[in-house]
Amino acid sequence: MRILSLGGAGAVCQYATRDLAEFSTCEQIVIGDYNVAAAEQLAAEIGDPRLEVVRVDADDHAGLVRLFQGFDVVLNGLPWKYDLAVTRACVEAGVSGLDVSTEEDQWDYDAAARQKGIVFVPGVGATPGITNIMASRGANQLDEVDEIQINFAAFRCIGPSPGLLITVLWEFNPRTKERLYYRDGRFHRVGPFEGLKTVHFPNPIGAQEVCYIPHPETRTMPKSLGAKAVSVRGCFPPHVMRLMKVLLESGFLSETPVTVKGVQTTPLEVMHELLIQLPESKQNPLWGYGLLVEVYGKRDGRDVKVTLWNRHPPAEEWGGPAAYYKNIAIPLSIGAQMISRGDVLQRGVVAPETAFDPDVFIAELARRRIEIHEKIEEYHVVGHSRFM
Amino acid sequence: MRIVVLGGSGMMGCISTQDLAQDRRVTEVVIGARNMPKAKEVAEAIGSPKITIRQVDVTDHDALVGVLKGADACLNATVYYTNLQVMEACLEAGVHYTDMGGLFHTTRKQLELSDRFAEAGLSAVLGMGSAPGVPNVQARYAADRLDTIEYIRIYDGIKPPPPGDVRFTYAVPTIVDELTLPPMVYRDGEFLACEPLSEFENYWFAPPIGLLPMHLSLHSEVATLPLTFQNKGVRECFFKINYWGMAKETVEKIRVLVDFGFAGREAVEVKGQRVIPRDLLVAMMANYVPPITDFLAPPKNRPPDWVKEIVTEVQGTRDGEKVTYRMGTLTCKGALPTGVAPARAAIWLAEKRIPAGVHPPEAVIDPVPFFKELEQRDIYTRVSVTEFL
Repeated sequence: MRILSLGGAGAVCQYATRDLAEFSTCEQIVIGDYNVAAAEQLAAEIGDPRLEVVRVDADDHAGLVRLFQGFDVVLNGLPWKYDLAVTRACVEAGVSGLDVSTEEDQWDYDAAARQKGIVFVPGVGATPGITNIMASRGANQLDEVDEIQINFAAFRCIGPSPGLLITVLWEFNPRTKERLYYRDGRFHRVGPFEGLKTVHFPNPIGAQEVCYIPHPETRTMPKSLGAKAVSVRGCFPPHVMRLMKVLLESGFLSETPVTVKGVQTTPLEVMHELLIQLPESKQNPLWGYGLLVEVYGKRDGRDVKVTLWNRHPPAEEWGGPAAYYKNIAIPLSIGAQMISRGDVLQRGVVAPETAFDPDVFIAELARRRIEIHEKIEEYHVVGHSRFM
Repeated sequence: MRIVVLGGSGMMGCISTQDLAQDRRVTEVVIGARNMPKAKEVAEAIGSPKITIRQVDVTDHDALVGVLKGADACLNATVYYTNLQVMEACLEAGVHYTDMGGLFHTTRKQLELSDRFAEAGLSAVLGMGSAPGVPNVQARYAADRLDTIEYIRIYDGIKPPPPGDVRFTYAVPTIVDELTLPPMVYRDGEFLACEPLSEFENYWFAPPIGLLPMHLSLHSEVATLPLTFQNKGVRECFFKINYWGMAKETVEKIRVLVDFGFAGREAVEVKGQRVIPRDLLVAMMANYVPPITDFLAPPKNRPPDWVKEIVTEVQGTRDGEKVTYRMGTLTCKGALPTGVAPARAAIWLAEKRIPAGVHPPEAVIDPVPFFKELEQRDIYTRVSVTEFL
């Protein structure tokens, strides 16, 4: 078995590469990166003879297809703007793959992927990713799923990388159309900072106020898990949330042109460049990922709520920012290994909750010290007792 | 009498222009402005035949000298960064000078020009707005009546706008500086740099303004008062304000941006062009500046429905007895004293009532006639004296 770790020397994906080296049994792991020097340094550091390095230009479609053909699985850790390019190249090359985020248009390759007999799983990070597995595990405990509420606390600085900065700016941009929740058979569009509620994440993150965030789980779970209502709410550390609120309220996310001392630009453009360049945007007191998924439904005719939450080693132990990155990269590596060893039977472009057996996935997470906890409670609406 | 008001069509400058045009001693008010359409809008709104407009960029020394020549006084109502340049132009043009403040550090530099002004037989009064300006003269009133001074505490109390009302009612770059630069205080013979937005205390102002949370801010009064009255043994001097007259929420928002580095002066490259973060912040904040006609409109309230009280408390001794003076200058239009006070100083300069050299207001502005002149424009000053048993 051969796995290609695409962008595998990057800030996040290097931890997927490291996980592949530590846990997989495949014969070869190839780091495909634009930055060959970083890739070689990483390979030398890990020191696994199965590791190889190849230079990849993700803008060269034909080159990607040729490269992919020699692999069993492509693990895509490139910035999200390459999601479609990689999906397309996987389908053309007839090689299964997975990536960390989700682009709506990726589902268009479903039929072509089936035809080629491959599987491509978008969104196998922390959220989407672990949250899909948690929801799937919760849904499996029920006969019928009424509602899935996904909550996350992404504790990282605002701009650890250009891609992750764009993600935040996009998630809070008032023009983002994908900020939806699902209820009563349809998707409802909502604005930034709407749907506020307080969620108690495991310590050290603790109680945080979360709001609706545009996320693919909302799109896939009504169908994949038969949920009648789905929502994703999330937050970043308080200092990032404060900044986003101010940027939003003060018009700094606007794309209307402004002239600054004779230079024509837009606030959003400057904002983006500023946040990449300013040292303040790299500052963050606490790194980690809080995930809490609530699945409501029926079991044996009773109303039941399954609550699932994660725990992972603290930042002090996992090395500061790595405590955040590992939560994204480890699922990617687990997913790649499950695909390569034949655990995934579905073909086509498939959501994580459909592709992966949650119990196997959760067991794999636990081997890496990411624990999923679960509580099952029965509840009922007072005054509508079934004894009446 | 011909007075040039640089920035005479700006937020504060337009009020000075209006005030000067209404004064019978003044025969011509020249608005020196970069933005001609705006200058015309202001001139039309005031509608006085005394007003003329000259386009000028204050960074163009020769052009500025040309505009200043023949004037009896120059009132610099542009942002304080230009103070030194404008003073140089005044020296060359042979024109007296006043401004609305130099945010402590610039005022200090301006005072160094005193010998050159004196040699040229020219006079300058620095920081003659509502604050600095009014508190300096208030302090002088008390100082004239005290043998020793223990402290000079200045409280600029402004009725805050409602929380959702985001507006910046004076120079935006100055607001950003006040928010980010360490406030200077004078304690036990030393000038100390403190944290912005620190040393909060509640202070009671004339109703209906009432109790307001006051914090330190960088201001010019502190740069000069302890030195002017050094011989009276001043031990403490500070300036406090309530969120610079803005809603607390507005200040908190700007603070978040500042904490993330948006007030930085290092350029960043945006699509091949260089943009300074601070410039963007200032440009974005400019969207929240009210229309200029708001500044020229008559007060919405009538006395005693005050919107601002500028207070200076001076404690000291007279004939060995402890005495406290509380001077409160009240207005029903917050920006009015900022425009009117320097206009009065400009007239006094033109009337040659100020000695040659560069001076802080407390050194050269005679308090009683000054406050009487402010009273003619519905800006009232009250004095209360507390004696101890």
